[in-house]
Amino acid sequence: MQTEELVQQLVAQGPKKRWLHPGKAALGLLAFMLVYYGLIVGFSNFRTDLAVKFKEPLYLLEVGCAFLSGLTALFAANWLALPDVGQRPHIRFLPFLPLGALLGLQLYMMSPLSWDALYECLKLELYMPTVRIMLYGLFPAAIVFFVMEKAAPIRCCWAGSMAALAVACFGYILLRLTDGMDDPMRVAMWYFMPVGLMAVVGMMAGGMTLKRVWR
Amino acid sequence: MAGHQWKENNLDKEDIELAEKMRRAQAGDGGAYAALLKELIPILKGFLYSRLGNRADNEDILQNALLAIHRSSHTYNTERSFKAWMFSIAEYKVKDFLRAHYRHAAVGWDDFDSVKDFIAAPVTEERGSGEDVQEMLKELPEKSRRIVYMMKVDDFSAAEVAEKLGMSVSAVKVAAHRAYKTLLAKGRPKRNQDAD
Repeated sequence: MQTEELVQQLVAQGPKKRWLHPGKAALGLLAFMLVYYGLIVGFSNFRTDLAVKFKEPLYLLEVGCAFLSGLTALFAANWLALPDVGQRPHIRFLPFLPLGALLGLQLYMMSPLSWDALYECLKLELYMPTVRIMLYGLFPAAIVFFVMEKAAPIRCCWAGSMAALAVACFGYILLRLTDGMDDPMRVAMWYFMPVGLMAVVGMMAGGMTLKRVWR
Repeated sequence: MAGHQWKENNLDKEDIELAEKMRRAQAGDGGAYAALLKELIPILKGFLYSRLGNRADNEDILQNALLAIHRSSHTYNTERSFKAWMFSIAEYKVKDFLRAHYRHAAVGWDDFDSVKDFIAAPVTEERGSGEDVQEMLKELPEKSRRIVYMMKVDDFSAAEVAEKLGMSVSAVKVAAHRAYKTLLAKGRPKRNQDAD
């Protein structure tokens, strides 16, 4: 086919209507996730000592950092769903700031770090929090991926990673609001590390699934 | 342009004009969209030439880039640079092409031109290499066989084959590459026998 014929065909189809601004898409997805995780919390019930925990600055800081990580990851994912994300290159690094703060907080709360304690914690094999974060996150992750697919991501792995990170961070907050486990090492190992794991899984999923618009 | 916040820092006049055409196209102006796409052709050709040099495939890649720009036209936000958006997409299609190209180069893509001679060779009573290739072609799946004939005997480009068969260009290229690999693998033991 000649290029001119292709152009005529494309003109006949016409351009698509403008997609949502990534900020608006992120806010919409945030509202959805707050409702979704709110419903899960409603069924699971808050932890009995939540009122006491809210008076602890470190606990509030931890939940706040997790929320900021999820929020910025959601924004980053929606910006990364655009082909010209290079016009806002700093956005994909934004989630690492609150995430780094959260990691620092975990390390601070675990200090002094003991390899024996770490080994004992590993032996506990508390896989349920990991499984819960992943299972609760499947539906919102599917919704976020669906929205991103409607755009035109070029950096598909990054976009998938940010989407999964956002979902995992909200799952982390859910567990901290409903589970009574407060041991810093267990929280770091069985709540926080799955967040990183999900980001990696999201990266792989993004690389496989987000390229449909280009096919 | 009244009512639109143009961030004119670092945007040249051409960028602003293209962005305005795209804004009108997104609002439903078909004429603006036609003018925009026609204006993009020489820009993209220059871009492809600077990236890939003067290649026979440039027309295919140009069409792929135009198609990609069309399919992702909804993601352009008129507050941002149009050229940066467009070149991001074009760069992505160039990388796509190079990825596929270097995969094919590993199996000696140019060697398969000789398949055309074998396929077109007349059938004779004496068993010749043309008949061998005909038999090997029959063992291919029907779609792959059709693609090989269309590309190597009828001399259609990948884009033309894709249009006729209702497939994407990349799917045609992948299917052709697999078919050539199969033919080469089947032909190698026979050539070694003949050499002995």
